Amino acid sequence: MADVAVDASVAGNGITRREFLYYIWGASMVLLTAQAAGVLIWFLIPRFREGEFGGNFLKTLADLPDVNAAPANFADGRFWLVNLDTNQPNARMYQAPDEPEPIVGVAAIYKVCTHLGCIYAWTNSNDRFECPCHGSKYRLDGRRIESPAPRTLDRFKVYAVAEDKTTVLAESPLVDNFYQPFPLPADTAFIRVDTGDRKQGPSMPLLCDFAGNCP
Amino acid sequence: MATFIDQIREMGVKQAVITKSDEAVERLTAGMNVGDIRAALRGDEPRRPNPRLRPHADGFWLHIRPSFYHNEITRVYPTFHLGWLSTFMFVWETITGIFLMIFYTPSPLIAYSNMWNILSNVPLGQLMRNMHRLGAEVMVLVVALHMLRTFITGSYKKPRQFTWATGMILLVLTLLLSFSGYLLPWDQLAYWALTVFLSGAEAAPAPAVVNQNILLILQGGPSLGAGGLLRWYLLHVLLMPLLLGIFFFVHYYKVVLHGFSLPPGREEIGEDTAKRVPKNERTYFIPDILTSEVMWVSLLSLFLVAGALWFWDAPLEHHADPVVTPLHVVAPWYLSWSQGWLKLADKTLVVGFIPALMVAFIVMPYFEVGKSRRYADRRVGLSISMLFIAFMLVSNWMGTPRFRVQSSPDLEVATKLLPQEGVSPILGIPPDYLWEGEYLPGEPVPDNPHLTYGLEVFADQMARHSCTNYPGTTIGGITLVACQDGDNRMPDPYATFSIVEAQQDLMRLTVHIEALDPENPDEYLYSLDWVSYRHADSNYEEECSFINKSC
Amino acid sequence: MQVKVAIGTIALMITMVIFGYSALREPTRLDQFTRAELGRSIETGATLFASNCSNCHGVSGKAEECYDLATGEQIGCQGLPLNYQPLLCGDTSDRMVAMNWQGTKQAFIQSTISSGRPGTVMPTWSEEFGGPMRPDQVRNLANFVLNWETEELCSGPVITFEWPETVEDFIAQFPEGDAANGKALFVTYGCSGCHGVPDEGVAAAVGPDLSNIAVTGATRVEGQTAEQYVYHSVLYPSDFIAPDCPTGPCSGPPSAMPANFPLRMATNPQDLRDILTYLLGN
Repeated sequence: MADVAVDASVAGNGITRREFLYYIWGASMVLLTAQAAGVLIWFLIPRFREGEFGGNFLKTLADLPDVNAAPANFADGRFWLVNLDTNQPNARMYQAPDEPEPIVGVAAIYKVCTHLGCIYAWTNSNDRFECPCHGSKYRLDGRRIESPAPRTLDRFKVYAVAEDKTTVLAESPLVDNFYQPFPLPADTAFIRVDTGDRKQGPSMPLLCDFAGNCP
Repeated sequence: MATFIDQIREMGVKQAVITKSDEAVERLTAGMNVGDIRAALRGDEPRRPNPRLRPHADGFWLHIRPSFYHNEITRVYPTFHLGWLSTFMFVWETITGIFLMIFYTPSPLIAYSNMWNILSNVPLGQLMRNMHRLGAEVMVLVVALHMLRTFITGSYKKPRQFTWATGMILLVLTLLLSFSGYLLPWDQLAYWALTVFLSGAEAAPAPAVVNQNILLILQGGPSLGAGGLLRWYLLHVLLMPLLLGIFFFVHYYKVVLHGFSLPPGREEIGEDTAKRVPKNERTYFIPDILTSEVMWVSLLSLFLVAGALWFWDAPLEHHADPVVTPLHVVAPWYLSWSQGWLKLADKTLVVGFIPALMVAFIVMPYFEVGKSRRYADRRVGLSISMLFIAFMLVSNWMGTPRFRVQSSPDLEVATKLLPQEGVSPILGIPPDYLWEGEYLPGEPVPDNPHLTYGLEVFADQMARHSCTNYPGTTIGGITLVACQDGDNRMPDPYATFSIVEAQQDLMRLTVHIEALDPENPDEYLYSLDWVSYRHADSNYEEECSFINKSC
Repeated sequence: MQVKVAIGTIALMITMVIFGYSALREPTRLDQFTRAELGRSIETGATLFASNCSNCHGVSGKAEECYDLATGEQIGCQGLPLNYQPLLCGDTSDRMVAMNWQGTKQAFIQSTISSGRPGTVMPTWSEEFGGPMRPDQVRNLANFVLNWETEELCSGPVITFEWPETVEDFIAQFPEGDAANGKALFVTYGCSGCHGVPDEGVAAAVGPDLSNIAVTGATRVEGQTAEQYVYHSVLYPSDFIAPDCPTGPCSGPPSAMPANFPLRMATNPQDLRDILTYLLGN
């Protein structure tokens, strides 16, 4: 073996063990580098813990408010959970003249006002969200009743999850790049809200225009 | 080798000390003793063998520098010393940067107050910061000019193609260094410039999941925050300088290996100018080139220090506010072209085009294989380069807020007088001249030239953004143009500027603009009360003294 | 060559001169910038105050003139006065002593803004505790409030008033009440904003209707006359929450009614006497 000619043409006839082992070693370096690169990307992507804003929040059905009732507040996730059904309208939730389809289902609404970022509040006595900073008012589903907010409140993606806390039974449909409320399937046990996945609300006409009582 | 004690015995203490010192100097310089140094300083002929070559042969610091240059490239033309100046700018930035690092923590909770601390509590802090900021802009300029010169003289051609490629990478790294440093003050300017640019990453022509993850990695979080600031800080002070250093050494090694390219016409393609400099066409590094280099950096240092002290002030706007985007978010001037392109074309197209352009630049010398470096033989290439530069300049201008991104006219007037960020002719009025009252645009205020000037600017702005349905109407003495359909002007507006004392040393300044709808005289088409506050100590007048502020 | 050496030397010497000049004026400049930092902080605080605090604390911080932030109409001020001698004057102000605050005045103001006052309508502002403001914004606001401390404010006499426990003792000090003036004050103190104007048919919008308070007031608390009930309710609204309000049950405690009347009426307690006369008829 030691006296194999160094001539490349001779080497083409048969690889020595040493040469072969070098090639294997080289291949393993390449593979390791590729693996390290993949792991590095995983390392670099920011993670959001369960229960930390930016991550997922797992809520039980008990956390969900009644249909068209006042919203449920989850301050650490910075969202409200709302349960909507315009087929049973009340002071809080109703179908506006420019809404052709009924709005039914569950949605998670971001607590930050779309005007200048204040945290708006739910005003029970007025059956709507009201922002203390500049007076923006929103309906239970987040649509603007009064300005100066420029658009509907943002929403997070919601998943209906089965008893095993993993299987996704349904999720928020995306229509025109905005999450729509969706009714929970029968065997839903948990609701998962992904606060890392937020869609901006669209700019729809003010609801006070229809009532004719815009300030 | 006689020991020191022996030397004393032989020649006496004084002589022994002199001899010992001489030996020490020769060892320190890797080859030149005191006599050699003096001879070099006096311009005498060196002794043989030439000791001035030994520091290059044996010493570490000079081993990568050539020991002689060809006479033809020692004058200002053809290099304009831009490569050396680029290197110096990197060293300048590193040193000023390290000094600033002593007083900076990359956390959104701390960074902004660190900036104020540097400005108000660190001796020569403002100067150090201004030198760093000015240096960054000068470095981008010098590097770009170096690239331009290299292109014009055809120095990228064989065998120097790879040098050009590494040079392009150095340009990109320089821009990235500038870009990453821009974020660190964590003020509105920094935050929004970066947010806007990073959102471009989301627009790249790649699958959404890739784009979103790239954006997450760049932002360090769901939006630009603590994670992002730390990542860009680390890029700015560690990774980019390291990469720049590595590529610089590769680049410079190749420069020395192939030799500086001679002026076009003096050198044929593929000629090796490094190893074949005839003895009578040499200029030695020690002392001549060294003197020249040190002189140029002395001049540049003077320029940078004077500029940083009197002409170029680094801005510090309000604290970064993730929920409030100020009007007129501007990119730094050397990236303004990309903002200009974004106004013209689809985001995806632009974001995809830029890397393609970069790659094109890098591989250009491998395709542009014309045999001659003479200007006369490169008319096409030179014309294309001039057109490209013109295109970039136009793009740069288009990236400024004046072109196209106009909001409503009342807001334009109000924000010119009382901008959300930065200074203005009104804010620059010394506090003693902010007399309470309500003033009309263009109203002269006796004994108050500053306020009068501010009101003139008010009138000028109003005239630019107004029109009239009654020919001959003036605002502040300026005749208004007639109203036409579709122009973004206010019809026959009424405007005032008021100054009210809000608190001790604090004046509330209000720009009030109203304009009735000519078709509906009961309704206001424009109605704006734009309020700003001005504290007597805020020092806007000092900021106005720099030429890069618009007062 | 000699020219180059000369140019290099001169350049460096001029640089040295520039550094020296810069160093000489540095102490003044540092001082200027220190004051500028505070000045700009106050400016930012002023804007924040106008858009977040003035609707409760008043446009000049005296809880006298408040406007609804959305509609711009004038409303009653719900907050305590901040541009106020007992709060701001001295290293340890009277209010700090009353609240048993052991720290600095700056910290007192910042802490109150950050955490709010649970049990009152003062919200939590700092995002550390779920509010909307960053720590630097809270600091700017505090600097603005502290800037109300002037020689003028602190040299004037402090007007306080010890409100008697019972309305009888109060009437003993202020025997005469002017109903007409009371009616005017009912509006300027902001009462009509929630309670309407009883004898003009302007219905109450938020707070309980007071048209018949002389009779209904006696039924509210066991053993309390209507006079005592109204007197106590104006000064300490959260102690008794009325059962019915126009839009449903009255909210509270804490009551939606401002708790700052003891302070605001201290300068002229006769105002309360007049209002009592207006409401109760005597």
